[in-house]
Amino acid sequence: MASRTVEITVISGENLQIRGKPIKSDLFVTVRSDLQSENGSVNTKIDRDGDGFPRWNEKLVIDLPMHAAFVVVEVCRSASSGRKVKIVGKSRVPVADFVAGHLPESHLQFLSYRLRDEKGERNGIINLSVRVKLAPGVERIGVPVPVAMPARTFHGGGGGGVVTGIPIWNVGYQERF
Amino acid sequence: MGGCFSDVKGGQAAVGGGQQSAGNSVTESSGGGQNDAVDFYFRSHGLEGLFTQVELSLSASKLLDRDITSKSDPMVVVYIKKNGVLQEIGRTEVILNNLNPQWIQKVSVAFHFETVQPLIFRVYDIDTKYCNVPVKTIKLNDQDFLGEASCVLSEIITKQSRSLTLCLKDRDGGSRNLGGSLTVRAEETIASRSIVEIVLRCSHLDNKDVFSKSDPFLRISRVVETGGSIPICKTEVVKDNLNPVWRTLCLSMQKFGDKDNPLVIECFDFNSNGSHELIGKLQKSMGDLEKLYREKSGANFVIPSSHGGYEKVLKGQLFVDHFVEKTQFSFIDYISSGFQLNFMVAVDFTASNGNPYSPESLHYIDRSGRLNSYQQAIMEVGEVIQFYDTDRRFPAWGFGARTRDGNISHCFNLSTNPTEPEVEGVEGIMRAYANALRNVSLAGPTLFGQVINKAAEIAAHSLFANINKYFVLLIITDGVLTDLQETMEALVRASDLPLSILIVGVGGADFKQMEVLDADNGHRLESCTGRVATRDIVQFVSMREVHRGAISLVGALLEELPEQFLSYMRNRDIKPTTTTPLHLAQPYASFAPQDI
Repeated sequence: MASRTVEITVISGENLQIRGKPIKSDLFVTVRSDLQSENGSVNTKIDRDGDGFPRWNEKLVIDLPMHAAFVVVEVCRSASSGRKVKIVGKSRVPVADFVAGHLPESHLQFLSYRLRDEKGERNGIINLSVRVKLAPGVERIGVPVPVAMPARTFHGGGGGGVVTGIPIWNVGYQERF
Repeated sequence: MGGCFSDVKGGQAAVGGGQQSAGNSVTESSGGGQNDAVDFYFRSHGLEGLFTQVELSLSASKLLDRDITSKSDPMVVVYIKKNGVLQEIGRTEVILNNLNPQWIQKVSVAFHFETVQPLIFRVYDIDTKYCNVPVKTIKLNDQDFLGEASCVLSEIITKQSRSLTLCLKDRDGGSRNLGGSLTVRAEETIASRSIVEIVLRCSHLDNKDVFSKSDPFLRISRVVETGGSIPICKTEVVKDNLNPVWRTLCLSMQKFGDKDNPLVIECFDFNSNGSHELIGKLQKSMGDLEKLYREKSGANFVIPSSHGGYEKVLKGQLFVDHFVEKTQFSFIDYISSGFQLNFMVAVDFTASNGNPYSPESLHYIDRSGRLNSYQQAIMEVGEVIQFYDTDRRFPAWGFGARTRDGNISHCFNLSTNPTEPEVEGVEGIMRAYANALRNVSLAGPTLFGQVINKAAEIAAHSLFANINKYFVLLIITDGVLTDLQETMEALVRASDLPLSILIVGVGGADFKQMEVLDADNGHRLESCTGRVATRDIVQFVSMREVHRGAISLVGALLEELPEQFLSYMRNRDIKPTTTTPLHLAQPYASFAPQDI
C-alpha cells in the first residue's frame, strides 16, 4: 500500500483539565492515521509534572497511507493505581493541512489543534510540528514545480542541529530538503 | 481579595527563565527586540538622542495589607510621563501573598540624557481570579490600589548605589502616606546575544512538609557590586519530590552579568500561603555551573545556622544536567544580514467610506494636497516598512468595490495592470490608489478573507525559493467586517507562514471586532475545523488613537512586528546569513552612563 513517512513532533499541550481542574500528571500522546486501529498507534513518553501544560518534545514517525484523510492525535492519562487509560483530549488533524496547498512538501510546519474530550467538550490545545519526508526519487505531489530550497541557509544542515533560541524542543535539522 | 488558597497556580509558574510555548511565542527578550527596531529606525532618520537602555528592578517593603484572610498579592505598573500624559512602560509579575516582595520581571526604559523623565510607579493588589492571566491584560480598575511613588529617572541613575527608596503615597501625587516603601534599582542593559540554556536538578533535599514531601523550586539571583542581589529567575514548582528536575532555563547574559558574576541559588519549599521555606542555598557563578556540568559533580546546599555565624552543609545537592551557550539573534541582526520585509497593502473601497467626491468621505482627495486618512496611513506605515524593504516593489490591492467589468471584487489590483499587482514605492501606491478611486465604484460588503489568502499565497510561494523573506500585509479599513469567520479561518491558515498583518482602522467606527483578531488577550484564533493559530500574526492600530497622540504609529507598528518575525525565524532555527555583522556590535557602548 502506498504511503508517505511523516515526522510528527508532539511539542506540548495547553490547559488540559479533568472536571474543571488541571490534570496534574501522567499524560502521553498517541498518534495514528484514521485508517489504523488503536493498536497501530505510536506513543510519546509520559509527562510527569505538566500541571495541565504538559511538554513532550518528542518526535514520532508514522507511515501515512496515501488515502488517509486524518491523523488522529489523542492525549491520554496513563493507567496507574487501578485507573484505566483515559483519553482526555482528541483531535483529528486533516492531512490536507500539511500536504496539500502552496507549501513545499518537506517544509517544517508548526500546527496547533483544539482537543475535545470523549463528550465532545473543548479541552485544551495540542501543539505539533509536522514534516513530510520525501522518499528518494519521489516527485513532489500537488505543488508547483519549485526552485530547490537552499539548504545552506539552514544552520546545521549537515548534523548537530543546534537550536538558537527558545522554545526548546527536539527537532532534528539533520534532514536536508 | 487574593490569597485564597485557590490561586496557587499563578505562584507556581516559572518567571524569567525564558520558557516559551510553541503556540503563543512570548519571549522574554521582547523588550530588547522592539526597542532595537524602533531605535534603529529613528537613528537612521537622524532622530536619535543620546540615550542608553536601562532596566529597573523593583522591590517593596511593608506594603498595605488589603486582604483579610491573607496578605496582598502585589504587582507594580510603571509609567513614564510625557507631555503631561502617563504612558505605561511595563509591569512586573504578581507575587503571591507577600508584603515585602522582590519582583523578578524587570522594566526596560530608554534613558535620555537630555530630558527630564518623570516615572510613576503604582502598586496594586491583584485579585485572585486574575492570577493565571498574562499580566498585560489585567484590568487595573478592578484591582485594589496599594500606593503610588514617583521620581525622575536621572535621580536613580545618579545615585552611587543606582537605587532609590520611595514612600508609597495616595493616587495622583497625593501627599498622604499609605504605608510601605518601594525600592527602584536601575542597571544599564548590556547589549548581548549570549544566552545559556541550563537544566538544573537536585538530589536528597530535606523534607519540609509533614504529610508529603517538599514542593521545591529554585530562585536564582545575581549578586551586584553595590551590595545585595537581584532575583533574575525562578523555576516552576515540582510537587512532592526530593529529587526534582526542573525544565530548561534560558538565561541571557543580560540577566546573569558575566560568567564570573556570583549567583545565589536558593531552593525553597513552595507554600501556598506565600511564606516559602528555605531548604538550602549556595553561591556559584555561571562558570562554576558549567564546571559542575562538565565534571558531572554536585554542589552541596548550605543553610545559615540558627545560632548565627556559621553555615551548616546539607546533604542536598545541586546538579547541572545540561549546559549550552548559544547566540540569540535580534531583529536587526536578521535585517542587516539581508533578510527582507516585503510590504503589501490592501485598501478598503466599501461604500461606508462615503462618496469619494464629497469632502466628508474618508476617501476624499483634497486638491490642496491635504492627505485623507487612507493616504496618511499609507504614507506613515509605508515610510517605516519601505525602510526594511529593499526592492520597494509593493503588491497593492483594493477590496469591496465594483470594478470596471461590473462585478464586485474583494481583491483587485490598484494598478491599472490587471496581471501585475506590484507598484513601485510608496509614491506608486499613492498614485495607484488615487487612480483606482476614479476607476471603481465603492460597494461592499467588507471582506478580508480574499486579501489575506492572496497575501498568504505569496508568502507561501516565497518558501520554494527563499527563506529570508518575511511579509507584512497592511490592511486599511473603515470598519466592520462581514466575514469575521472566514477572516479567522484565513488567519489561522496563514499563522504558520512568514507573514504578519497590520490592520489600521480609519474613521470613527467601533473597532471592537478587530481586537478579537489581534490575539493580544491571550485567546488564540480558532478555525471551525479545530485548527488553532500557531502564533499571533495580527496587530491592530486605530488612526484615531495615533492622532490623539496616545501612541506613535512607528511604535505601534514595530511593537509586535519584530517579535512576530523572530518567533517565525527562531522556531525554524533560521539564522542570519552572516553571523557577525561588525557594525552591530555594542550599539549603545559609546553612550555608557559613566560618561556623564
